[in-house]
Amino acid sequence: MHIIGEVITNLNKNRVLTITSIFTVFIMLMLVGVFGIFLLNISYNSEYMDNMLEIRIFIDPNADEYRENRVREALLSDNRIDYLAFQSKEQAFEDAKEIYDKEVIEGLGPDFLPASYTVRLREEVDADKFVAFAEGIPDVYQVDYHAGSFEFAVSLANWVNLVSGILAMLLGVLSLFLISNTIRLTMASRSAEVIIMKFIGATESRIKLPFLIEGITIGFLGAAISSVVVGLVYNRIHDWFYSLGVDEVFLSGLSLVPVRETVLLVIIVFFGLGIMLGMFGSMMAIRKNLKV
Amino acid sequence: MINFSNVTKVYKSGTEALKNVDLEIKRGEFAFVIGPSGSGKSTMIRLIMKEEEPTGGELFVNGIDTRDIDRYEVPHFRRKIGVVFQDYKLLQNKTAYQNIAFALRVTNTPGRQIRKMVPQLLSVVGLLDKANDFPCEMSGGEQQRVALARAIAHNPDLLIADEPTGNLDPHTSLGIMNLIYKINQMGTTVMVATHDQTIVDTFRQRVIVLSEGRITRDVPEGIYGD
Repeated sequence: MHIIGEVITNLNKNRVLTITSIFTVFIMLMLVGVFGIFLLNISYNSEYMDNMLEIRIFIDPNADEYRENRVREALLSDNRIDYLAFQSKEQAFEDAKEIYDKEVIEGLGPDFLPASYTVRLREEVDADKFVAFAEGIPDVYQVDYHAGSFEFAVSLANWVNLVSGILAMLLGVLSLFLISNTIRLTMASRSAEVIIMKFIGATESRIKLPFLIEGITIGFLGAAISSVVVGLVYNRIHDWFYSLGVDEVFLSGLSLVPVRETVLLVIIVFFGLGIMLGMFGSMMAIRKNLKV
Repeated sequence: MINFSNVTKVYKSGTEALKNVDLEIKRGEFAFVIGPSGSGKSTMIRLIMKEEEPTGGELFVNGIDTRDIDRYEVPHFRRKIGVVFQDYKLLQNKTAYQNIAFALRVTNTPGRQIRKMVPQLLSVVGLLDKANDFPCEMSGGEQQRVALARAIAHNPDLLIADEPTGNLDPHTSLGIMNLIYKINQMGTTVMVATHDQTIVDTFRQRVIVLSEGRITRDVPEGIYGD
């Protein structure tokens, strides 16, 4: 109980440095949070990302069965294709009824939507060449291929991860030094106490413990603040995303990790990292400046 | 109680602080250690407190070879040695009561025992009425009395006083030395490092003279000069 009192008094004594340390831990964890949540959502949507690599080949809605079969034969004979799936007009009509306004779709009738093939190519195949080839098949009405978006998403993810990762690491090191410096200053302000404790026979752990707890408290507070901020911001983004209805309309299949799951993970990671930073910062200061 | 056997201490800087010192202070004895600055008095105290290690010879304190005490045992070893300094080393933000209680608390003495012991200790040094005064509200002599109360809080076998009267006027010094003498009479071994001729000559106890790291004189019931 006395140790907690000592910790509060000491942190309060070096208020400016304590707040700076907490703030650095906070910013560092925020960055970890941004890139962590980004990664989490990418892996959550891996199926959607995989679908981006698929090629959709739509057949002219006016084509009859014979013409549809010609397209089928052209595709079946192509050994660049790894996977081929057919969706008839009727299936497309049923699927559309689930996604779009049922009444509007029914009003358009089953012939409105085209039949299509979903194609996945072998890894070594040049997709652009295949798309050009598919567009040249008679009665092919449209070829959709989102590799550009996929590559953009992947390169964006890589950049976000790289930049946030480097910044988080730099800030991690900075917070470590700031915490260590804060603890060093509290040690300096309590040097008389430390000397007295030494000669009256206080154990090494009793002398060091308040400094260790001080570092952990800084990390803990940084983690608490960043958990609250990340939780609130993610909740806002989540609500905004679903209020747009993006998952249902133009980006079918894309979704965000639920808030509860994300916040729980954020809390575990943030508190773990914050406490570890605080502990190591203190240990650095103790090792360097406290000879018991 | 204290046994220096051919003890040498050379610091990393090359300074030879103690040279082949042989000295025995028996349990219950009272000894003055005198000598000019740099003669080795402080080094002797640091070795006894195990703040430093001898570079040669053997040092036994309370029957224990100080080299055999590992770092985790040092605090327990030090609880059996009370120390007072010239500058008192009191915590300025704590009252007389709190300064003594602090010494007991950081060595895990239960709260109930602390509440019982601190008034007793204050009473021994005659400062019960100053329990709630801060060091800045007390005279030098009173502060040294608080330091003495703190030093004997763990009922030590040995009391070391490093220039205990260095900052005090002759009258107050005498009062402090009387208190230290009283503690010795209760069975605690006392070693006082001092420059204070009046005190040494008044008390007529064993006098050990150090000069350039060597013991040059060791007489029972001695005086400051030759």
